[in-house]
Amino acid sequence: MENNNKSSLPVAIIGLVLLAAIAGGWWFYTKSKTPGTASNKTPAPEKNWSEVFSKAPPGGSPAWSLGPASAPVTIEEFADFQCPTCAYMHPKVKEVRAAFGDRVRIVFRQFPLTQTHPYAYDAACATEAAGVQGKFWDMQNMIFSNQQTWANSPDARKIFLEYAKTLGLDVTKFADDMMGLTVKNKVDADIQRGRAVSVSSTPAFYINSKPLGGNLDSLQSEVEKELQRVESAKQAPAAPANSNPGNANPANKQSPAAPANSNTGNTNSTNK
Amino acid sequence: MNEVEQITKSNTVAKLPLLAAVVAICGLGDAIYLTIHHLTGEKIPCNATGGCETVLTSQYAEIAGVPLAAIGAVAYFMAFSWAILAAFGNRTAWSIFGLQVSLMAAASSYFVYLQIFVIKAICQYCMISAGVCLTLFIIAVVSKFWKK
Repeated sequence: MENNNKSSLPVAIIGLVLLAAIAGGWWFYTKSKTPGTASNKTPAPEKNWSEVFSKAPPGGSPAWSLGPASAPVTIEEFADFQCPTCAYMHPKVKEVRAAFGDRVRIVFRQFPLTQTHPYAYDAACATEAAGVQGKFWDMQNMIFSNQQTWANSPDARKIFLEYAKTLGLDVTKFADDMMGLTVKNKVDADIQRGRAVSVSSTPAFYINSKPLGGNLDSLQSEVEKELQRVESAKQAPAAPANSNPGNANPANKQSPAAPANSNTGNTNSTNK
Repeated sequence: MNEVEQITKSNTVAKLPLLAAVVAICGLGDAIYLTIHHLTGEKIPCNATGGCETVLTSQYAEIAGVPLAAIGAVAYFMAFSWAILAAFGNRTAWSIFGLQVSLMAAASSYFVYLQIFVIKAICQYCMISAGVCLTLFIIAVVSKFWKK
């Protein structure tokens, strides 16, 4: 009887700890997934982001964007093709686009973290080179969707050439463009813009020039909130336009100093 | 060795697995925290070292699509289980514990090397995990030494 107790006690302790770990993990997971909870913090919200963006260099021109320039909400994404979280967010961004359609414009910026990700810069150049032939978004999709394949291969460039072939691109031109200065300058310009707007990790999302902090899964709900805010501001009678410049939305408020697309530079818009 | 010495010695050895179990729980908590952050994509607070995002979004943060932190959580839970069984007198469990934490310490050393020399960024949570692994390894070594 005593022996039985002796052998069952450690098993009971192990079982209890396992249950506690699962329950604690689940609680923390659901807490993190719920938008608006304590863990959903936004870093440095006090910054005047409109000013930061208006002073930032324009980035690569034309920028890759989806949706009309007149959309009430603009999401500017800085991403690294070799970053797993960026690949994770790729379908989420598509979902946002599908959910809000032309009410949202998405601007994609290159921000390869070259110290960490040896192929990220090449991947950025590959998408830009595909963009020269009008297939930026197809290449972007292909590179994100197959991240594990090329990121773990000894020669990612070779794989990018195969993708170019699959997309029906002129592979010789693609290879030349990928190595060319024009494409590199464009990527570098995006990086400079990213640094100027305090991008320190990827993916970094800015909704109407305000950073999305904390839970990246809250992207859709934050876009919805911003849409509601912009739409209610439109309906509000004659509020002073410059009362809160930090929350200004450049898309629906034009002034000579800040034209509608000043926060994203020139854009290359495609309705995909 | 007289009887008193034997009792004192066996009590000391039993305390080490208990200590190891407590340390393993700390590692388990750290690994669960990192796993959840990995799964939710939430940015992690990183005040001490500033390199958490760089490390946790690097290509080394996953093995065949499985978050490294999740593998760590399983390993810590196993180490905890062996330690608890050993605390209740199971010598085989303590041997397995010793073997496992040696492997974990070796893996942790490699991950610290990756952070410092390859990724060139430090994640404080990963360093805590490395510290836990090292502590478990030291406990296992001390227990072996004590027996001789």
